[in-house]
Amino acid sequence: MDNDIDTIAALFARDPRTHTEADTNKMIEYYQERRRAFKLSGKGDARIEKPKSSLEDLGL
Amino acid sequence: MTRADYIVHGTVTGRLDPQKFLSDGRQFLWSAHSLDLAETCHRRYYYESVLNVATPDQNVHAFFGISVHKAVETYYAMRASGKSHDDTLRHIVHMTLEDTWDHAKGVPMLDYDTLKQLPGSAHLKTRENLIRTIIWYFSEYGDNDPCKTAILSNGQYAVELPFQFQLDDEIMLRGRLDRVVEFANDPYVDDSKTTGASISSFYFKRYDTDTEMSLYSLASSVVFKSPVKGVLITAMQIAVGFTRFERSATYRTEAQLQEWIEDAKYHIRMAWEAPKHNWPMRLSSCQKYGGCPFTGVCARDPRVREEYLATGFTKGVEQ
Repeated sequence: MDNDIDTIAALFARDPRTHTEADTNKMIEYYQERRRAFKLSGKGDARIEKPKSSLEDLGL
Repeated sequence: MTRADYIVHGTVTGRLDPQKFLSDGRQFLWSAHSLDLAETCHRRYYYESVLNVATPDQNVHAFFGISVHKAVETYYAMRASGKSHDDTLRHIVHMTLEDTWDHAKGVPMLDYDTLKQLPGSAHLKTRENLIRTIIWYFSEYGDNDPCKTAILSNGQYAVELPFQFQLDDEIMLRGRLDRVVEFANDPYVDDSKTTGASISSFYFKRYDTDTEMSLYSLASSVVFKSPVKGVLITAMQIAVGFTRFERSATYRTEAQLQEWIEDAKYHIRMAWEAPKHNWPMRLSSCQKYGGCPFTGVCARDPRVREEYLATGFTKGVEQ
């Protein structure tokens, strides 16, 4: 993981015009892995509140 | 804007954007943002909408938000043209990296060392957090979004739809709908917001009386001839180590929209009167929502405000 962080940091510091497709994939995979870890921690579950209009609130 | 273009404490004397302002200085084309400012404080409206000045941190938040919107718009345009999710995401990440690279200086934009010197949550709007937010957003909502993007009659996805319509003989309203979606068999406008604040039901409550959401509800029926059930707010909490997404809906009835129209006309006409009274300050608004960015200007003697504005502020980003 430390190696990944260094690789990603180096990519951020480099002119993106020099990035290869593999570089971009690496960045996407790195953040997707971070997201999986965040989800596993139970903190990242996206929620959507049940839509209810003000008229529905009044039972209309 | 040059200092010679305007006098800060009096009538507008210089160049105003003819796309928005009449020759007599009255604004005729209004966005939700400028209307919000006029309702909040006429002096702030004058600085931010008429003179178009902003603080560096305001521009950071605007640039970050615009970058997210551009990613969303590009994503759906590419998906509509048949590109795969993976190819589209790769394109968007690369595009955003290029957009946030200062090609003249050869350095990245939105760097933490610069942002940490700015007030509020600007330090969270880094380039790294932007890329993470975009990747996480499309991992969360890309192919798995319960809200399905509506398809326009031309076959394109209904994203980033600009609108402009006449409110009365002298006033036009304008804006842009992020996305029109179908959720649980009903049409909604989906509006994305990025914030440094924690997202809770308290966070979403503000949108029940929010000018922007009222305007979007109105525009969907007036311009697109397709009344929506409500406006969904897709909030993205940008934190140091994560981006959290939450959605909630806000609704407007016909009667509420009629009321909003009348209120909007009143506030616009009040703003037109404001130059005659030297753009009055509304002091009760100074400390709301983390504080007005122009408090430091207004707190100074009128004779030195122009100099202060010329040093601490910059041209605002078009929203």
